[in-house]
Amino acid sequence: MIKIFNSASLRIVGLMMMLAIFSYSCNKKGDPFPDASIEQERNLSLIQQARDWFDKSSSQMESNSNNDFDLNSYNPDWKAFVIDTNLAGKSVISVPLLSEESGAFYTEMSVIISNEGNASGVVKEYMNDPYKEETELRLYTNDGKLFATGTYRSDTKQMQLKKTFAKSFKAISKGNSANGGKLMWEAEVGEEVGGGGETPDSRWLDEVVITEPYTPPTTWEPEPHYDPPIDPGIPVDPGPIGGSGGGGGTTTAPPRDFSCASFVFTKTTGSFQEAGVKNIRIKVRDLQRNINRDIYMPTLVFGLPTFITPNQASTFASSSVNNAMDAVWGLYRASPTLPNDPVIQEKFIELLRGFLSVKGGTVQRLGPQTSAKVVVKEADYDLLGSGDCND
Amino acid sequence: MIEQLEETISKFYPKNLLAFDPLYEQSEEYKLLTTIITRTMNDKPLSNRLVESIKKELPPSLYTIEDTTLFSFLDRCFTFQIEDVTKSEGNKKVYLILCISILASYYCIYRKKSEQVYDKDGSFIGFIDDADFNIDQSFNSKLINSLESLMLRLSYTKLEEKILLHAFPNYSIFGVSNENFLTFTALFKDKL
Repeated sequence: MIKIFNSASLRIVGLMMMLAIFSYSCNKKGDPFPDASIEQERNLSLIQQARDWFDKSSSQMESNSNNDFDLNSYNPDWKAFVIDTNLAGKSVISVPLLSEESGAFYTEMSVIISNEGNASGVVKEYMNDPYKEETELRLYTNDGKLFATGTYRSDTKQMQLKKTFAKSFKAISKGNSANGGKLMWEAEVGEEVGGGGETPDSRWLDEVVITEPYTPPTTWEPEPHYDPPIDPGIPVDPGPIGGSGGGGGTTTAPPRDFSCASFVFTKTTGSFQEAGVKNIRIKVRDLQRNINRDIYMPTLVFGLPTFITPNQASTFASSSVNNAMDAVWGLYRASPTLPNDPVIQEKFIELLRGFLSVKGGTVQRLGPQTSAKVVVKEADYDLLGSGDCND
Repeated sequence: MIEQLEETISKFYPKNLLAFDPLYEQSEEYKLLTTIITRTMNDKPLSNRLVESIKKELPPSLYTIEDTTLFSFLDRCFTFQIEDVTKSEGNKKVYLILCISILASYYCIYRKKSEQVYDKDGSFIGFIDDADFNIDQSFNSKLINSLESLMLRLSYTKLEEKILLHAFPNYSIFGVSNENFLTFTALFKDKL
Protein backbone atom coordinates (compact mmCIF):
# COMPACT_ATOMS: atom_id res chain seq x y z
CA MET A 1 0.00 0.00 0.00
CA ILE A 2 1.44 3.30 -1.01
CA LYS A 3 1.22 5.84 1.71
CA ILE A 4 -0.47 9.09 0.99
CA PHE A 5 0.72 10.70 4.17
CA ASN A 6 3.92 12.31 5.29
CA SER A 7 6.66 9.87 4.33
CA ALA A 8 9.09 10.84 7.10
CA SER A 9 6.55 10.15 9.80
CA LEU A 10 5.70 6.88 8.15
CA ARG A 11 9.30 5.82 8.21
CA ILE A 12 9.37 6.45 11.91
CA VAL A 13 6.18 4.47 12.35
CA GLY A 14 7.74 1.72 10.26
CA LEU A 15 10.83 1.65 12.37
CA MET A 16 8.73 1.42 15.47
CA MET A 17 6.74 -1.41 13.91
CA MET A 18 9.90 -3.37 13.29
CA LEU A 19 10.80 -2.97 16.92
CA ALA A 20 7.28 -3.82 17.96
CA ILE A 21 7.21 -7.05 15.99
CA PHE A 22 10.65 -8.06 17.17
CA SER A 23 9.68 -7.22 20.71
CA TYR A 24 6.45 -9.17 20.41
CA SER A 25 8.31 -12.22 19.13
CA CYS A 26 10.97 -12.04 21.80
CA ASN A 27 8.49 -11.49 24.59
CA LYS A 28 7.03 -14.85 23.79
CA LYS A 29 10.40 -16.39 24.52
CA GLY A 30 11.52 -14.47 27.56
CA ASP A 31 10.97 -10.74 27.16
CA PRO A 32 14.39 -9.29 26.30
CA PHE A 33 12.59 -5.99 25.63
CA PRO A 34 11.05 -5.20 29.01
CA ASP A 35 11.03 -1.49 28.16
CA ALA A 36 8.78 -1.76 25.12
CA SER A 37 7.43 1.70 24.53
CA ILE A 38 3.85 2.78 24.69
CA GLU A 39 4.06 3.38 20.93
CA GLN A 40 5.05 -0.23 20.28
CA GLU A 41 2.28 -1.49 22.49
CA ARG A 42 -0.18 0.77 20.70
CA ASN A 43 0.83 -0.66 17.31
CA LEU A 44 0.51 -4.21 18.57
CA SER A 45 -2.86 -3.27 19.92
CA LEU A 46 -3.86 -1.94 16.48
CA ILE A 47 -2.90 -5.20 14.82
CA GLN A 48 -4.88 -7.16 17.37
CA GLN A 49 -7.91 -4.91 16.98
CA ALA A 50 -7.72 -5.31 13.21
CA ARG A 51 -7.65 -9.09 13.70
CA ASP A 52 -10.66 -8.86 16.01
CA TRP A 53 -12.48 -6.69 13.47
CA PHE A 54 -11.76 -9.19 10.71
CA ASP A 55 -12.90 -12.16 12.80
CA LYS A 56 -16.07 -10.41 13.92
CA SER A 57 -16.92 -9.12 10.44
CA SER A 58 -16.22 -12.52 8.86
CA SER A 59 -18.62 -14.25 11.20
CA GLN A 60 -21.26 -11.58 10.54
CA MET A 61 -20.93 -12.10 6.81
CA GLU A 62 -21.04 -15.87 7.17
CA SER A 63 -24.45 -15.65 8.81
CA ASN A 64 -25.87 -13.42 6.07
CA SER A 65 -26.30 -14.88 2.61
CA ASN A 66 -27.30 -11.59 1.00
CA ASN A 67 -23.88 -9.98 1.15
CA ASP A 68 -22.32 -8.06 -1.68
CA PHE A 69 -18.92 -9.14 -0.36
CA ASP A 70 -17.83 -12.08 1.78
CA LEU A 71 -14.67 -11.77 3.85
CA ASN A 72 -14.70 -15.51 4.41
CA SER A 73 -13.37 -16.02 0.90
CA TYR A 74 -10.30 -13.93 1.72
CA ASN A 75 -7.11 -14.39 3.70
CA PRO A 76 -5.55 -11.28 5.20
CA ASP A 77 -1.82 -11.00 4.55
CA TRP A 78 -1.06 -9.90 8.09
CA LYS A 79 2.64 -9.63 7.44
CA ALA A 80 2.07 -6.94 4.82
CA PHE A 81 0.12 -4.56 7.00
CA VAL A 82 0.68 -0.82 6.84
CA ILE A 83 -0.12 1.70 9.54
CA ASP A 84 -0.83 5.21 8.32
CA THR A 85 -1.91 8.36 10.06
CA ASN A 86 -4.90 10.07 8.50
CA LEU A 87 -5.67 13.76 8.22
CA ALA A 88 -7.35 13.76 11.59
CA GLY A 89 -4.21 12.32 13.16
CA LYS A 90 -5.69 8.90 13.78
CA SER A 91 -3.92 5.66 12.96
CA VAL A 92 -5.32 3.47 10.23
CA ILE A 93 -4.14 -0.08 9.70
CA SER A 94 -4.52 -1.51 6.20
CA VAL A 95 -4.06 -5.17 5.34
CA PRO A 96 -4.13 -6.83 1.88
CA LEU A 97 -6.86 -9.43 1.40
CA LEU A 98 -5.88 -12.35 -0.78
CA SER A 99 -8.23 -14.64 -2.66
CA GLU A 100 -8.04 -16.79 -5.76
CA GLU A 101 -11.71 -16.24 -6.45
CA SER A 102 -11.69 -12.46 -6.40
CA GLY A 103 -12.48 -10.72 -9.63
CA ALA A 104 -10.73 -7.58 -8.41
CA PHE A 105 -7.12 -6.70 -9.14
CA TYR A 106 -6.42 -5.89 -5.51
CA THR A 107 -8.44 -5.91 -2.28
CA GLU A 108 -7.61 -4.59 1.15
CA MET A 109 -9.25 -3.82 4.47
CA SER A 110 -8.62 -0.66 6.45
CA VAL A 111 -9.45 -0.43 10.13
CA ILE A 112 -9.51 2.62 12.36
CA ILE A 113 -9.98 2.88 16.10
CA SER A 114 -12.30 5.57 17.43
CA ASN A 115 -11.55 7.68 20.48
CA GLU A 116 -13.78 5.33 22.42
CA GLY A 117 -11.63 2.40 21.35
CA ASN A 118 -14.12 0.88 18.90
CA ALA A 119 -12.82 -0.59 15.64
CA SER A 120 -14.49 0.35 12.37
CA GLY A 121 -13.42 -0.84 9.00
CA VAL A 122 -14.02 -0.90 5.30
CA VAL A 123 -13.10 -3.21 2.47
CA LYS A 124 -11.79 -1.69 -0.73
CA GLU A 125 -11.82 -3.46 -4.08
CA TYR A 126 -9.71 -2.03 -6.90
CA MET A 127 -11.08 -3.68 -10.01
CA ASN A 128 -8.00 -2.94 -12.16
CA ASP A 129 -4.40 -2.06 -11.50
CA PRO A 130 -4.52 1.20 -9.53
CA TYR A 131 -0.86 1.85 -10.31
CA LYS A 132 -1.31 2.00 -14.02
CA GLU A 133 -4.75 3.18 -14.83
CA GLU A 134 -7.94 4.75 -13.74
CA THR A 135 -9.92 2.02 -12.07
CA GLU A 136 -13.26 1.31 -10.52
CA LEU A 137 -13.12 1.27 -6.73
CA ARG A 138 -15.80 -0.40 -4.63
CA LEU A 139 -16.23 0.17 -0.91
CA TYR A 140 -17.93 -2.34 1.38
CA THR A 141 -19.06 -2.06 4.98
CA ASN A 142 -18.06 -4.40 7.78
CA ASP A 143 -21.23 -6.42 7.21
CA GLY A 144 -20.41 -6.98 3.54
CA LYS A 145 -22.66 -4.38 1.92
CA LEU A 146 -21.55 -2.31 -1.03
CA PHE A 147 -21.91 1.29 0.08
CA ALA A 148 -20.09 3.27 -2.59
CA THR A 149 -18.56 2.89 -6.01
CA GLY A 150 -16.40 5.34 -7.84
CA THR A 151 -13.37 5.91 -9.98
CA TYR A 152 -9.90 5.86 -8.45
CA ARG A 153 -7.06 7.77 -10.06
CA SER A 154 -3.54 6.57 -9.38
CA ASP A 155 -1.96 9.91 -10.27
CA THR A 156 -3.92 12.09 -7.84
CA LYS A 157 -4.81 9.29 -5.40
CA GLN A 158 -8.38 10.48 -5.36
CA MET A 159 -11.75 8.85 -5.75
CA GLN A 160 -14.59 10.36 -7.71
CA LEU A 161 -17.84 9.13 -6.26
CA LYS A 162 -20.24 7.60 -8.76
CA LYS A 163 -22.89 5.96 -6.69
CA THR A 164 -23.64 5.61 -3.00
CA PHE A 165 -25.86 3.15 -1.25
CA ALA A 166 -25.72 4.62 2.24
CA LYS A 167 -26.96 7.90 3.60
CA SER A 168 -24.82 8.39 6.62
CA PHE A 169 -21.31 9.18 5.58
CA LYS A 170 -19.60 12.14 4.08
CA ALA A 171 -16.49 12.79 2.07
CA ILE A 172 -13.88 15.32 3.06
CA SER A 173 -11.27 16.43 0.63
CA LYS A 174 -8.32 18.49 1.83
CA GLY A 175 -5.15 19.71 0.24
CA ASN A 176 -4.45 20.46 -3.35
CA SER A 177 -6.54 18.00 -5.25
CA ALA A 178 -4.56 18.45 -8.42
CA ASN A 179 -1.28 17.62 -6.79
CA GLY A 180 -1.30 14.68 -4.45
CA GLY A 181 -4.32 15.82 -2.47
CA LYS A 182 -5.52 13.45 0.19
CA LEU A 183 -8.97 12.02 0.29
CA MET A 184 -10.64 10.91 3.45
CA TRP A 185 -13.99 9.33 3.96
CA GLU A 186 -15.71 10.00 7.21
CA ALA A 187 -19.04 8.79 8.43
CA GLU A 188 -21.15 10.55 10.97
CA VAL A 189 -24.30 9.10 12.41
CA GLY A 190 -27.46 10.59 11.03
CA GLU A 191 -25.84 12.95 8.57
CA GLU A 192 -27.10 12.39 5.05
CA VAL A 193 -24.39 13.09 2.52
CA GLY A 194 -23.05 11.46 -0.57
CA GLY A 195 -26.34 11.79 -2.35
CA GLY A 196 -28.96 9.66 -3.97
CA GLY A 197 -28.18 6.07 -3.08
CA GLU A 198 -30.25 3.38 -4.64
CA THR A 199 -30.93 1.62 -1.38
CA PRO A 200 -30.29 4.17 1.34
CA ASP A 201 -30.06 2.79 4.85
CA SER A 202 -28.46 3.55 8.18
CA ARG A 203 -25.10 1.81 7.77
CA TRP A 204 -22.19 3.99 8.71
CA LEU A 205 -18.46 3.96 9.15
CA ASP A 206 -16.45 6.08 11.50
CA GLU A 207 -13.67 6.91 9.13
CA VAL A 208 -11.95 5.43 6.10
CA VAL A 209 -8.70 6.39 4.49
CA ILE A 210 -8.15 5.53 0.86
CA THR A 211 -4.68 4.19 0.25
CA GLU A 212 -3.05 2.68 -2.76
CA PRO A 213 -2.51 -1.02 -2.79
CA TYR A 214 0.29 -3.14 -1.72
CA THR A 215 3.68 -1.54 -1.66
CA PRO A 216 5.97 -2.93 1.01
CA PRO A 217 4.94 -2.44 4.60
CA THR A 218 6.44 0.58 6.29
CA THR A 219 8.60 -1.87 8.22
CA TRP A 220 10.79 -2.11 5.11
CA GLU A 221 11.20 1.63 4.78
CA PRO A 222 14.73 2.57 5.83
CA GLU A 223 15.61 5.87 7.40
CA PRO A 224 17.22 7.76 4.51
CA HIS A 225 19.77 9.54 6.65
CA TYR A 226 21.04 6.18 7.88
CA ASP A 227 21.80 4.99 4.36
CA PRO A 228 25.34 3.68 3.97
CA PRO A 229 27.32 4.64 0.89
CA ILE A 230 25.64 3.18 -2.17
CA ASP A 231 27.19 -0.05 -3.30
CA PRO A 232 25.15 -1.16 -6.27
CA GLY A 233 25.12 -4.75 -7.32
CA ILE A 234 26.37 -6.25 -4.08
CA PRO A 235 23.68 -7.91 -1.98
CA VAL A 236 23.66 -6.81 1.63
CA ASP A 237 22.74 -9.07 4.50
CA PRO A 238 20.44 -6.94 6.62
CA GLY A 239 21.09 -8.95 9.76
CA PRO A 240 18.41 -9.56 12.37
CA ILE A 241 15.37 -7.32 12.25
CA GLY A 242 15.29 -4.90 15.13
CA GLY A 243 18.93 -5.44 15.93
CA SER A 244 21.44 -2.91 17.17
CA GLY A 245 20.87 0.68 16.27
CA GLY A 246 17.12 0.24 16.31
CA GLY A 247 17.07 -1.96 13.25
CA GLY A 248 17.55 0.82 10.75
CA GLY A 249 21.14 1.82 10.99
CA THR A 250 23.30 -0.45 8.98
CA THR A 251 21.68 -1.38 5.72
CA THR A 252 19.09 -0.44 3.18
CA ALA A 253 18.41 -4.01 2.13
CA PRO A 254 14.97 -5.36 2.87
CA PRO A 255 14.57 -8.22 5.36
CA ARG A 256 15.25 -11.69 4.03
CA ASP A 257 11.75 -12.76 4.80
CA PHE A 258 10.80 -15.26 2.09
CA SER A 259 10.06 -18.46 3.95
CA CYS A 260 10.87 -22.07 3.12
CA ALA A 261 7.28 -22.80 4.14
CA SER A 262 6.42 -21.56 0.64
CA PHE A 263 7.47 -24.90 -0.86
CA VAL A 264 6.06 -28.39 -1.00
CA PHE A 265 8.62 -30.31 -3.04
CA THR A 266 7.24 -33.40 -4.73
CA LYS A 267 9.14 -35.90 -6.84
CA THR A 268 7.97 -35.56 -10.43
CA THR A 269 10.00 -36.90 -13.30
CA GLY A 270 13.22 -38.88 -13.14
CA SER A 271 15.52 -37.57 -10.47
CA PHE A 272 13.80 -34.22 -10.07
CA GLN A 273 11.55 -32.78 -7.38
CA GLU A 274 9.41 -29.73 -8.05
CA ALA A 275 7.41 -27.15 -6.11
CA GLY A 276 5.24 -24.28 -7.31
CA VAL A 277 4.97 -20.89 -5.63
CA LYS A 278 2.67 -18.10 -6.61
CA ASN A 279 2.82 -14.40 -5.93
CA ILE A 280 6.45 -14.09 -4.93
CA ARG A 281 6.94 -10.40 -4.37
CA ILE A 282 10.22 -8.73 -5.01
CA LYS A 283 11.08 -5.34 -3.64
CA VAL A 284 12.67 -2.49 -5.52
CA ARG A 285 13.58 1.01 -4.48
CA ASP A 286 11.90 3.68 -6.59
CA LEU A 287 14.12 6.71 -6.06
CA GLN A 288 11.96 8.96 -8.21
CA ARG A 289 8.94 8.42 -6.01
CA ASN A 290 10.97 7.84 -2.85
CA ILE A 291 9.16 4.64 -2.05
CA ASN A 292 9.82 0.93 -1.92
CA ARG A 293 7.69 -0.91 -4.42
CA ASP A 294 6.56 -4.52 -4.81
CA ILE A 295 6.60 -6.45 -8.05
CA TYR A 296 4.82 -9.76 -8.19
CA MET A 297 6.04 -12.78 -10.08
CA PRO A 298 3.88 -15.16 -12.06
CA THR A 299 3.50 -18.59 -10.52
CA LEU A 300 6.91 -20.23 -10.60
CA VAL A 301 7.90 -23.87 -10.52
CA PHE A 302 11.19 -24.70 -8.82
CA GLY A 303 13.09 -27.86 -9.66
CA LEU A 304 15.91 -29.49 -7.73
CA PRO A 305 17.56 -32.93 -7.87
CA THR A 306 16.16 -35.57 -5.53
CA PHE A 307 19.48 -36.43 -3.95
CA ILE A 308 18.76 -33.63 -1.51
CA THR A 309 15.73 -34.06 0.72
CA PRO A 310 12.53 -32.05 0.18
CA ASN A 311 13.29 -30.03 3.32
CA GLN A 312 16.81 -29.33 2.15
CA ALA A 313 15.38 -28.35 -1.22
CA SER A 314 12.93 -25.96 0.47
CA THR A 315 15.65 -24.38 2.56
CA PHE A 316 17.94 -23.99 -0.41
CA ALA A 317 15.22 -22.68 -2.72
CA SER A 318 14.02 -20.10 -0.18
CA SER A 319 17.60 -19.03 0.42
CA SER A 320 18.05 -18.65 -3.34
CA VAL A 321 14.91 -16.53 -3.59
CA ASN A 322 16.12 -14.30 -0.77
CA ASN A 323 19.53 -14.00 -2.39
CA ALA A 324 17.97 -13.06 -5.71
CA MET A 325 15.70 -10.54 -3.96
CA ASP A 326 18.71 -8.97 -2.30
CA ALA A 327 20.57 -8.91 -5.59
CA VAL A 328 17.70 -7.19 -7.40
CA TRP A 329 17.35 -4.71 -4.56
CA GLY A 330 21.06 -3.94 -4.70
CA LEU A 331 21.00 -3.70 -8.46
CA TYR A 332 18.32 -1.03 -8.69
CA ARG A 333 18.33 0.82 -5.39
CA ALA A 334 20.79 3.44 -6.65
CA SER A 335 19.20 3.66 -10.05
CA PRO A 336 17.65 7.08 -10.71
CA THR A 337 15.06 5.48 -12.97
CA LEU A 338 13.69 1.98 -12.79
CA PRO A 339 13.34 -0.18 -15.88
CA ASN A 340 9.85 -1.46 -16.50
CA ASP A 341 8.54 -4.39 -14.52
CA PRO A 342 9.14 -7.12 -17.13
CA VAL A 343 12.83 -6.21 -17.25
CA ILE A 344 13.12 -6.36 -13.44
CA GLN A 345 11.24 -9.66 -13.36
CA GLU A 346 13.52 -11.09 -16.00
CA LYS A 347 16.60 -10.01 -14.07
CA PHE A 348 15.22 -11.58 -10.91
CA ILE A 349 14.69 -14.92 -12.65
CA GLU A 350 18.12 -14.81 -14.24
CA LEU A 351 19.72 -14.22 -10.84
CA LEU A 352 17.51 -16.80 -9.16
CA ARG A 353 18.50 -19.40 -11.72
CA GLY A 354 22.12 -18.64 -11.04
CA PHE A 355 21.68 -19.34 -7.34
CA LEU A 356 19.61 -22.47 -7.94
CA SER A 357 22.04 -23.91 -10.46
CA VAL A 358 24.65 -24.38 -7.74
CA LYS A 359 22.74 -27.49 -6.70
CA GLY A 360 21.57 -28.41 -10.15
CA GLY A 361 18.25 -26.60 -9.79
CA THR A 362 16.25 -24.33 -12.03
CA VAL A 363 12.99 -22.42 -12.14
CA GLN A 364 10.33 -21.96 -14.77
CA ARG A 365 6.95 -20.35 -15.17
CA LEU A 366 3.96 -22.58 -14.42
CA GLY A 367 2.79 -23.71 -17.82
CA PRO A 368 0.77 -26.33 -19.63
CA GLN A 369 3.78 -28.62 -19.63
CA THR A 370 4.08 -28.51 -15.83
CA SER A 371 3.71 -31.88 -14.15
CA ALA A 372 0.33 -32.48 -12.56
CA LYS A 373 2.15 -33.61 -9.42
CA VAL A 374 3.50 -30.14 -8.69
CA VAL A 375 2.00 -28.60 -5.56
CA VAL A 376 1.51 -24.84 -5.88
CA LYS A 377 1.49 -22.76 -2.70
CA GLU A 378 0.99 -19.08 -2.00
CA ALA A 379 4.31 -17.38 -1.21
CA ASP A 380 4.88 -17.40 2.53
CA TYR A 381 6.83 -14.75 4.39
CA ASP A 382 8.44 -14.98 7.78
CA LEU A 383 9.11 -11.46 8.95
CA LEU A 384 11.54 -12.71 11.55
CA GLY A 385 13.36 -14.55 8.83
CA SER A 386 14.48 -17.90 10.20
CA GLY A 387 13.86 -19.54 6.82
CA ASP A 388 15.27 -22.94 7.75
CA CYS A 389 13.27 -26.09 7.02
CA ASN A 390 15.04 -28.62 9.19
CA ASP A 391 14.76 -32.32 8.53
CA MET B 1 21.72 -20.24 -42.61
CA ILE B 2 21.07 -17.52 -40.04
CA GLU B 3 18.05 -16.24 -41.98
CA GLN B 4 16.73 -19.77 -42.19
CA LEU B 5 17.20 -20.22 -38.46
CA GLU B 6 15.48 -16.96 -37.66
CA GLU B 7 12.53 -17.99 -39.76
CA THR B 8 12.27 -21.15 -37.67
CA ILE B 9 12.77 -19.29 -34.41
CA SER B 10 10.11 -16.73 -35.26
CA LYS B 11 7.51 -19.49 -35.34
CA PHE B 12 8.03 -20.27 -31.66
CA TYR B 13 9.02 -16.96 -30.07
CA PRO B 14 7.15 -13.65 -30.44
CA LYS B 15 9.45 -10.98 -31.82
CA ASN B 16 10.24 -7.89 -29.72
CA LEU B 17 8.28 -9.11 -26.74
CA LEU B 18 9.86 -9.78 -23.35
CA ALA B 19 8.94 -13.09 -21.75
CA PHE B 20 7.47 -11.23 -18.78
CA ASP B 21 5.21 -9.11 -20.90
CA PRO B 22 1.62 -10.20 -20.25
CA LEU B 23 1.14 -10.52 -24.01
CA TYR B 24 3.95 -13.06 -24.32
CA GLU B 25 2.02 -15.97 -22.88
CA GLN B 26 -0.97 -15.08 -25.04
CA SER B 27 1.04 -15.05 -28.24
CA GLU B 28 0.46 -17.70 -30.90
CA GLU B 29 4.18 -18.41 -30.95
CA TYR B 30 4.34 -19.24 -27.24
CA LYS B 31 1.24 -21.37 -27.51
CA LEU B 32 2.79 -23.33 -30.36
CA LEU B 33 6.02 -23.78 -28.39
CA THR B 34 4.27 -25.12 -25.30
CA THR B 35 1.96 -27.30 -27.37
CA ILE B 36 4.91 -29.03 -29.01
CA ILE B 37 6.73 -29.43 -25.70
CA THR B 38 3.65 -30.84 -23.99
CA ARG B 39 2.96 -33.22 -26.85
CA THR B 40 6.55 -34.47 -26.88
CA MET B 41 6.82 -34.91 -23.12
CA ASN B 42 3.78 -37.16 -23.23
CA ASP B 43 5.28 -39.27 -26.01
CA LYS B 44 7.26 -41.70 -23.85
CA PRO B 45 7.81 -44.24 -26.66
CA LEU B 46 9.66 -41.61 -28.67
CA SER B 47 12.07 -40.95 -25.81
CA ASN B 48 12.57 -44.68 -25.28
CA ARG B 49 13.23 -45.29 -28.95
CA LEU B 50 15.86 -42.58 -29.02
CA VAL B 51 17.58 -43.94 -25.91
CA GLU B 52 17.61 -47.45 -27.36
CA SER B 53 19.01 -46.18 -30.67
CA ILE B 54 21.81 -44.31 -28.91
CA LYS B 55 22.58 -47.25 -26.65
CA LYS B 56 23.27 -49.38 -29.68
CA GLU B 57 26.08 -47.01 -30.57
CA LEU B 58 27.71 -47.21 -27.14
CA PRO B 59 29.91 -49.98 -25.73
CA PRO B 60 27.99 -50.56 -22.44
CA SER B 61 31.10 -51.18 -20.40
CA LEU B 62 32.50 -47.76 -21.25
CA TYR B 63 29.48 -45.52 -21.23
CA THR B 64 26.18 -45.04 -19.43
CA ILE B 65 23.32 -42.98 -20.77
CA GLU B 66 20.70 -40.98 -18.90
CA ASP B 67 17.78 -38.96 -20.26
CA THR B 68 18.08 -35.64 -18.39
CA THR B 69 15.44 -33.80 -20.41
CA LEU B 70 13.32 -31.38 -18.41
CA PHE B 71 10.33 -30.66 -20.58
CA SER B 72 8.45 -29.35 -17.56
CA PHE B 73 11.11 -26.62 -17.44
CA LEU B 74 10.50 -25.81 -21.07
CA ASP B 75 13.46 -27.66 -22.58
CA ARG B 76 13.17 -27.53 -26.34
CA CYS B 77 15.21 -30.68 -26.90
CA PHE B 78 15.87 -34.17 -25.67
CA THR B 79 19.01 -34.15 -23.57
CA PHE B 80 20.96 -37.37 -23.30
CA GLN B 81 23.82 -37.40 -20.85
CA ILE B 82 26.41 -39.98 -21.77
CA GLU B 83 28.96 -40.62 -19.05
CA ASP B 84 32.41 -41.78 -19.98
CA VAL B 85 33.04 -44.08 -17.04
CA THR B 86 36.69 -44.44 -18.02
CA LYS B 87 37.23 -40.71 -17.49
CA SER B 88 34.98 -40.09 -14.49
CA GLU B 89 36.66 -40.26 -11.10
CA GLY B 90 34.68 -40.29 -7.88
CA ASN B 91 32.77 -37.05 -7.64
CA LYS B 92 34.26 -35.76 -10.87
CA LYS B 93 32.14 -36.88 -13.80
CA VAL B 94 32.84 -36.51 -17.51
CA TYR B 95 29.88 -36.44 -19.87
CA LEU B 96 29.09 -36.14 -23.53
CA ILE B 97 25.80 -34.33 -23.95
CA LEU B 98 23.64 -34.98 -26.99
CA CYS B 99 20.78 -32.50 -27.52
CA ILE B 100 18.13 -33.26 -30.13
CA SER B 101 15.77 -30.38 -30.86
CA ILE B 102 12.04 -31.00 -30.93
CA LEU B 103 11.38 -27.76 -32.82
CA ALA B 104 13.44 -28.47 -35.93
CA SER B 105 15.69 -31.23 -37.27
CA TYR B 106 18.85 -30.05 -35.58
CA TYR B 107 21.09 -31.51 -32.91
CA CYS B 108 24.27 -30.53 -31.08
CA ILE B 109 26.91 -32.25 -29.02
CA TYR B 110 29.03 -30.84 -26.24
CA ARG B 111 31.10 -32.09 -23.35
CA LYS B 112 30.53 -31.38 -19.72
CA LYS B 113 32.65 -31.91 -16.65
CA SER B 114 30.80 -31.85 -13.39
CA GLU B 115 32.21 -32.05 -9.89
CA GLN B 116 30.09 -32.63 -6.83
CA VAL B 117 31.42 -30.69 -3.86
CA TYR B 118 30.78 -31.78 -0.28
CA ASP B 119 31.36 -30.09 3.04
CA LYS B 120 33.57 -31.59 5.75
CA ASP B 121 30.51 -33.00 7.47
CA GLY B 122 29.51 -34.78 4.27
CA SER B 123 26.65 -32.45 3.34
CA PHE B 124 26.30 -31.64 -0.32
CA ILE B 125 27.34 -28.08 -1.22
CA GLY B 126 26.87 -28.00 -4.96
CA PHE B 127 28.17 -28.65 -8.44
CA ILE B 128 31.06 -27.11 -10.28
CA ASP B 129 30.19 -27.50 -13.95
CA ASP B 130 32.29 -26.85 -16.99
CA ALA B 131 30.72 -27.23 -20.42
CA ASP B 132 32.25 -26.68 -23.82
CA PHE B 133 31.40 -27.35 -27.44
CA ASN B 134 35.02 -28.23 -28.06
CA ILE B 135 35.01 -31.98 -27.50
CA ASP B 136 37.90 -33.12 -29.64
CA GLN B 137 40.28 -33.86 -26.81
CA SER B 138 37.76 -35.15 -24.36
CA PHE B 139 36.04 -38.05 -26.04
CA ASN B 140 36.72 -40.97 -28.24
CA SER B 141 36.30 -39.80 -31.81
CA LYS B 142 34.78 -43.17 -32.77
CA LEU B 143 31.93 -42.52 -30.38
CA ILE B 144 31.36 -39.06 -31.79
CA ASN B 145 31.38 -40.44 -35.32
CA SER B 146 28.90 -43.18 -34.54
CA LEU B 147 26.53 -40.72 -32.86
CA GLU B 148 26.78 -38.37 -35.81
CA SER B 149 26.04 -41.26 -38.17
CA LEU B 150 23.01 -42.15 -36.14
CA MET B 151 21.69 -38.60 -36.25
CA LEU B 152 22.32 -38.46 -39.97
CA ARG B 153 20.24 -41.61 -40.42
CA LEU B 154 17.49 -39.95 -38.41
CA SER B 155 17.71 -36.92 -40.78
CA TYR B 156 19.03 -34.45 -38.20
CA THR B 157 21.60 -31.76 -39.00
CA LYS B 158 24.40 -30.90 -36.61
CA LEU B 159 24.78 -27.27 -35.58
CA GLU B 160 28.32 -26.13 -34.87
CA GLU B 161 29.49 -23.81 -32.11
CA LYS B 162 29.57 -20.64 -34.20
CA ILE B 163 25.96 -21.07 -35.25
CA LEU B 164 24.83 -22.18 -31.79
CA LEU B 165 26.26 -19.05 -30.21
CA HIS B 166 24.69 -16.64 -32.69
CA ALA B 167 22.50 -14.15 -30.79
CA PHE B 168 18.93 -13.24 -31.69
CA PRO B 169 18.33 -10.30 -29.34
CA ASN B 170 14.86 -9.58 -30.71
CA TYR B 171 13.55 -12.74 -29.12
CA SER B 172 13.10 -13.75 -25.54
CA ILE B 173 12.28 -16.63 -23.27
CA PHE B 174 11.60 -16.75 -19.57
CA GLY B 175 14.79 -16.45 -17.55
CA VAL B 176 17.22 -15.69 -20.37
CA SER B 177 18.01 -12.08 -21.04
CA ASN B 178 17.65 -10.88 -24.61
CA GLU B 179 21.33 -10.46 -25.25
CA ASN B 180 21.87 -14.09 -24.25
CA PHE B 181 19.13 -15.47 -26.45
CA LEU B 182 21.17 -17.66 -28.80
CA THR B 183 20.44 -20.27 -31.41
CA PHE B 184 21.18 -22.78 -28.67
CA THR B 185 18.61 -21.10 -26.42
CA ALA B 186 15.98 -21.02 -29.12
CA LEU B 187 16.25 -24.58 -30.37
CA PHE B 188 17.57 -26.48 -27.38
CA LYS B 189 17.41 -25.16 -23.83
CA ASP B 190 18.30 -22.32 -21.50
CA LYS B 191 21.87 -23.23 -20.65
CA LEU B 192 24.56 -25.77 -21.41
